[in-house]
Amino acid sequence: MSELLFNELPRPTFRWLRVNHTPVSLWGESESTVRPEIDGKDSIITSLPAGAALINTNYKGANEEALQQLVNAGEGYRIQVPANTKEAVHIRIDGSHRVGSRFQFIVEEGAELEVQFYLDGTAKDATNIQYFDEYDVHANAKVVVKKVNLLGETVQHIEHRYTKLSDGADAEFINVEIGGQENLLNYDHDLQGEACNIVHDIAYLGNKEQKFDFSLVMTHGGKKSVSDIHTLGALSDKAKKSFRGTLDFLRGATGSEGAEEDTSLLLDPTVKSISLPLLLCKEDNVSGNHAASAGQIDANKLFYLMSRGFNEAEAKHMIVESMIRPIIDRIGDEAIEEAALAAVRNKI
Amino acid sequence: MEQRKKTQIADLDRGVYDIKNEFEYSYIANAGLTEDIVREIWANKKEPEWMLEFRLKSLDIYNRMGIPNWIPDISGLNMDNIHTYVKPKVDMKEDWNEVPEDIKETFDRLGIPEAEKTSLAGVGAQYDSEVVYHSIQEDLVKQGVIYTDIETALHEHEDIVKQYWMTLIPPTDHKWAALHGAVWSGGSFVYVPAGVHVEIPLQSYFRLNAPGAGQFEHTMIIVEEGAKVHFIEGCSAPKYDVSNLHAGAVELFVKDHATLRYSTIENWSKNMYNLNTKRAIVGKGGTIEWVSGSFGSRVSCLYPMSILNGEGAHAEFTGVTFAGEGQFLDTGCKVVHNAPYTTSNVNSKSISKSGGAAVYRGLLKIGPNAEHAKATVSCESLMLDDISQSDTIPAIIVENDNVDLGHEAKIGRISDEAIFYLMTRGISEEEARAMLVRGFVEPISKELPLEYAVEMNNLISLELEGSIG
Amino acid sequence: MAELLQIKELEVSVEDKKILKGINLTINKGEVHVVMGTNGAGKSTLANAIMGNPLYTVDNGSILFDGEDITEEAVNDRAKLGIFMSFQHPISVPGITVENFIRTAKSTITGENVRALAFKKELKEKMDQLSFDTAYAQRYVNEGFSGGERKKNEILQMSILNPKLAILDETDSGLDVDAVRIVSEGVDRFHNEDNAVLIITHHNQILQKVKPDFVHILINGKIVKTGDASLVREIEEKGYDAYKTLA
Repeated sequence: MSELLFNELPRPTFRWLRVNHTPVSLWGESESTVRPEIDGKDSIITSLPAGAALINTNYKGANEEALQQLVNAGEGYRIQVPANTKEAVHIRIDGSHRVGSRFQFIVEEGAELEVQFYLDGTAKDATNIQYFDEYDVHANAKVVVKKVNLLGETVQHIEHRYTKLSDGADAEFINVEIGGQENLLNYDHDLQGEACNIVHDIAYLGNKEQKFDFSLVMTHGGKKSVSDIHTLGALSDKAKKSFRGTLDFLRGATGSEGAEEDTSLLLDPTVKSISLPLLLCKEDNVSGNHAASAGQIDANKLFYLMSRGFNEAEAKHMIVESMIRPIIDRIGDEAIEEAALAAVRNKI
Repeated sequence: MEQRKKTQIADLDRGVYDIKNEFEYSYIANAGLTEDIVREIWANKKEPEWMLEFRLKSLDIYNRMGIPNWIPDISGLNMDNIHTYVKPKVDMKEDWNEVPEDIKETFDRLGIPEAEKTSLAGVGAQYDSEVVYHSIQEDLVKQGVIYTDIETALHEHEDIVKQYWMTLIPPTDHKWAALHGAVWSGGSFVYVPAGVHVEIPLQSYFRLNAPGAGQFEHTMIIVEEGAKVHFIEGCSAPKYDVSNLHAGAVELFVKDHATLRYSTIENWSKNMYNLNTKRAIVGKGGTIEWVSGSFGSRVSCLYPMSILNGEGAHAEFTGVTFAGEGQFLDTGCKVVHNAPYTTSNVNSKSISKSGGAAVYRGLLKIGPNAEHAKATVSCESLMLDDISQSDTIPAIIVENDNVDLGHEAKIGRISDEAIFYLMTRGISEEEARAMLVRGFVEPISKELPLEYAVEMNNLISLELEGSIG
Repeated sequence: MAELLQIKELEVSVEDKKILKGINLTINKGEVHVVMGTNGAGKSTLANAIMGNPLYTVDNGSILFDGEDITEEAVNDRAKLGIFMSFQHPISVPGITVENFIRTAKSTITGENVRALAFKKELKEKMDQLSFDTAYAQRYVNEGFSGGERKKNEILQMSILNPKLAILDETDSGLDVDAVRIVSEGVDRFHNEDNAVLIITHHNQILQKVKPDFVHILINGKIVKTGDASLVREIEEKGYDAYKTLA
């Protein structure tokens, strides 16, 4: 099977580092795809035909070819929330067989939408779970997307996500990424509107041979737009994480602010952590900050906990859990939070 | 303060840097790059046989290699128009009085002999492709310190030069390294024997006078165990209408417990394509300190690299880049931690104005063996108007858990709050801005030798002066 | 009596929100005035408006200094006329040393070249008076300074720039007892027959050393009561609630 280049860095750097993209072979392509279950009010959910136009036709996804295939392949869902109403949608993705699907969300002016993605299950053989969710968030509308990934070890998990924010629009994205063998996640957020606001927080936990490959781009076009990226997680065994985060301030985005932070806790000498926090700027009246840190568990914290009678392993567990917990707690669904916490405890 | 006027001026009057001499030479290679030209350069310089082989091999690599996809636009550079070798009308002198009047005046204006008298242990001056002057204090010679031009070293210390020659920067590294290997000429050679501390700096000054020429000097510095030296490099060229190319190579070998400080102020003219490569390898307990100021050139690609190979080796990088109109300065640094307990600090500042682009491109790599490594990176970018560009492109790769790593970067403009605070103390808005810009680069300028710090402040003042329209 | 500052019917807003709603205040040479009031009453706005912070818009009224209308004057020109403000939260200025900063300010305000040696001497003397470690002269302005050190630095600047009117915006807040004493003594040393001090505070620590001639209570953008030093004790006993009905 030929390799495709995923999550390309918007501005390439030194080639010999081999970090400008991630070469990937797609798994389980011979299987046919299944459309996942969706739960929400009937009146807002319709079928999205194969080949339906994208909200932004320039969006290339984690990989252009893979995204194109997905768009052409089969039916998806279109969720349209009428102006000034409040809706919630729950989507369950089952990793026991191949999934390929699209979700197009239109959140009309002043409306509010909460989306929950819950991914779990494992297939007998290597399989591919792939979906494309796109959001058109109209003026003063709000979208909250909470995703929990507890997929099994046989799963290659690919997500393409595009968001367009109009004036005063607000988006809050929370990811809890614990499962999946190879996770390729591409998030492209377009802050077109004036004073729009986006927060994207990702917690991850990787062990064994797990791979997490994150690409996040915040394009600030609108004046006074605000973005905030925070990825944090822990890696053990031979787990690998790549973070490609870009804050792109276009000319004219005056008064905008962007921040990105990537924090990795490294628990074994065999892990690999790559961080590429880019800041691109063509406007002087902005404030852009990024920070990255990587290291072991803070010895002082460890000492404190052990002075309270915990052994080293228990103390480490507590520290990793306490790092990820605040993000899990924001999921707001007790059963899912319990499942996520159980998965965390299982891994560390 | 909302309608604050933007800082904009045309091209900077670069004063003494722009005074050009009449173009005279004793030998000039034809424009373009062919095997014949490479053979001619070799023959003209009377080099050993192995060097011809090396040059031709490099030329072959150059011809087969592509231009990297990530560098700034260099389409204005046409190799067919570049003279790779321009031999000045004079051989190297060790007595300043013997240097021809016009060349001497050039360096006088740049303050070189004056600096030698007052604050330097040795001086080298390169004019176009060849070194025209070299001197070193006698007591250093007695201690076994060698400071000479690289051609002389190739003849008098061939074994050392051959042993180290382009081992750190092999011609296969990238296209401009290959070009350098094929047509290199001039540069400095420094050898500091074990345990010798050279207390006052050595300085080389590179001046490119010929229009449409390339400068490909090679600097090789070997600091033996426990030795210590500070090397200063200055570069400038007057402005011509045709493009010039600078593709030097700097190879620094810092042995166990040795210390090398390498300071550069680069003020090439704005028709220069500066595609330079600098690299240091550091042994156990050794230290490399880079101080780097990039002001000139049309395009710069410069990322001094520190390879920390010995336990406890340390790298320090302090850099400032100022990009004005028409400039695209893609600079930064690379640090590779290959051994336990290695440490590095990177501190970079950039300023962009009048449509200039300043890019920080960096690498911090902590390999599997670099347990207990500590690294910090701090990048700050200042935008002085809304027509310029400022990008930060760092790569951080960690392959081991026992590390302590922090990276921080920020982009912004001078804060209104800071301007207001200074103005409440009676300082005018223009002066407040200038003070804040100077303050922004102060942590860097204080690391520079005094005359360079003064030069840098003058450059900044020139850039900001009369710019409030 | 020599009128130094005259504020007439001053209305000021910040980001379209009206903060000061018609302030009248006259300060004569030799006087110490205190403005007290609850949080958010507009005390800092008054200080910033007198200093000329462009973020504060004067909608109505005027500010006269030494008989001259300065309502439209740029902030640095006000400083040259002799107005000084000690900031509530002085910012840090990386890269500029305390010595260099104050010397530049001094020569700009006086229009004269300040001689290095004489200045160093004065600086040392004034720093000693404030129990301010002279090593700080070579540090960057407020960079890594504690709250108390920042306030000392403000008072140091005041004593060297020697303004006609010093506005102290919450200079005593967030300081420990020793720092308040040192700062108050600095203000007391500065004050004389030819200058005036406007103290903005919401507690009275600083007033134990610096005796006010007039005390103004500012509530909801208006001065609701003016009295002598005894008013301070009255507030201490009754709190501000009693005056809120006056607003």
